[in-house]
Amino acid sequence: MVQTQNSYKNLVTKKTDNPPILLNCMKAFVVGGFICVIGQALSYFYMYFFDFTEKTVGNPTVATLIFFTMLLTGFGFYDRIAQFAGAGTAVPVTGFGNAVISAAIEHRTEGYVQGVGGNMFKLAGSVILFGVFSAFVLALIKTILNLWGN
Amino acid sequence: MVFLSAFIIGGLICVIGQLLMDIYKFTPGHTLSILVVAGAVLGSIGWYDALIDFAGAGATVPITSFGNALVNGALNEADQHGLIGVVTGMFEVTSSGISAAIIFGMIGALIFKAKG
Amino acid sequence: MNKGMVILIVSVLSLLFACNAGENNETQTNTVTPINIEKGTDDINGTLSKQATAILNKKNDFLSSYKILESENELIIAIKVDFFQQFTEQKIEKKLEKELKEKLHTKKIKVSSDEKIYIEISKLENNEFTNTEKKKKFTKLKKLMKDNA
Repeated sequence: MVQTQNSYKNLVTKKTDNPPILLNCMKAFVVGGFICVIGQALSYFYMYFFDFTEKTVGNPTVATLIFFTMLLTGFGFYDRIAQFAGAGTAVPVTGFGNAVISAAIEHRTEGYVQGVGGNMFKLAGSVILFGVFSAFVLALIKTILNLWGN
Repeated sequence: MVFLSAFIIGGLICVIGQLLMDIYKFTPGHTLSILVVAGAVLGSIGWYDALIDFAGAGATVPITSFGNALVNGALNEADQHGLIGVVTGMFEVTSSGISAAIIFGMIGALIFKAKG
Repeated sequence: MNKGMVILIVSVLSLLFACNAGENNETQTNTVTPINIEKGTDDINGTLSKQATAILNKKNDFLSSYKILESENELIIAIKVDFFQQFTEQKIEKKLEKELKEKLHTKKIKVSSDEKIYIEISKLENNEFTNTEKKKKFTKLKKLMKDNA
């Protein structure tokens, strides 16, 4: 019995263990880089025509990208792009935006409070949790070190 | 030119994410969380701002910039208001990315129909 | 699909390299005329600007270009650093500001590596603004520089 279980396990790992890593990385690199280039163009647009400095231009840039993500997600194109690009769309803010927006759209039929509100943060929740908490801890440590240093 | 560095740095951060998912089998949720924390760490030692100066949107567009923005907000408030500023600062800069995702998520739910 | 990927990557990269090559022709040799709001751009009688120009012209090894805006004996200087120095952009900015304040014996100098300031001063060079509008811009720029959260 054990032998068949073992050979089954080997069969499973052999068949499922081969994502084409190099190809995935190339796709992620190109798509991710491309999204950042679009972001850079948006940044220059906001810096030139509005009163945003280099420091503050990240805000409208990111918001605009998420707006485009909403359109792509709503009209159904995002999923195909995401499947092709993997981390190329997941790592930029577009991935975060899509996770929130697609969950919101999907669960609307369950009502806005329970469906949309209750499900929007399935993925986003961990990002916000660890982002906020790690920033808190790090800032605390750095501030205490600064106070001691003085 | 900054467009080239934006492309390369942005692409590299995505490659790191891809490797985390392919080699270490992390889920997207894990990967993004790791990247946000990495951004916060680099932000707290001041390296992430230098990266933004070099790569522009290549550093502000990936999710790592959330972590950097949160740390910077906390540290700025701490500069002005001492230790308690760390907590209050977090909520001042809850970064436009998070707000935008929430707002457009709601708008999306209002406008769009779920596809099968 | 593999071939398509390669072609895509090569074309994107060559596009970016082409843009990069084009930009390099722009690096000015720092014969920039500083803008003095009081006296108009022709008359560079603002000695502060002149002195600042003399100092900044020697910084060619890391400074790729700069623009000076002067108003009522206050200077705003926008700098652009060489590509690979951009990691240390902020340190260079602080060092320059300190040096200029010492050498020109005035505290009313602000140096910024922020590209927005550079863009705004370049817009003023078109000289289609009245003096009051230029002064308003000056105070706006000062506020923008402080706003850097």
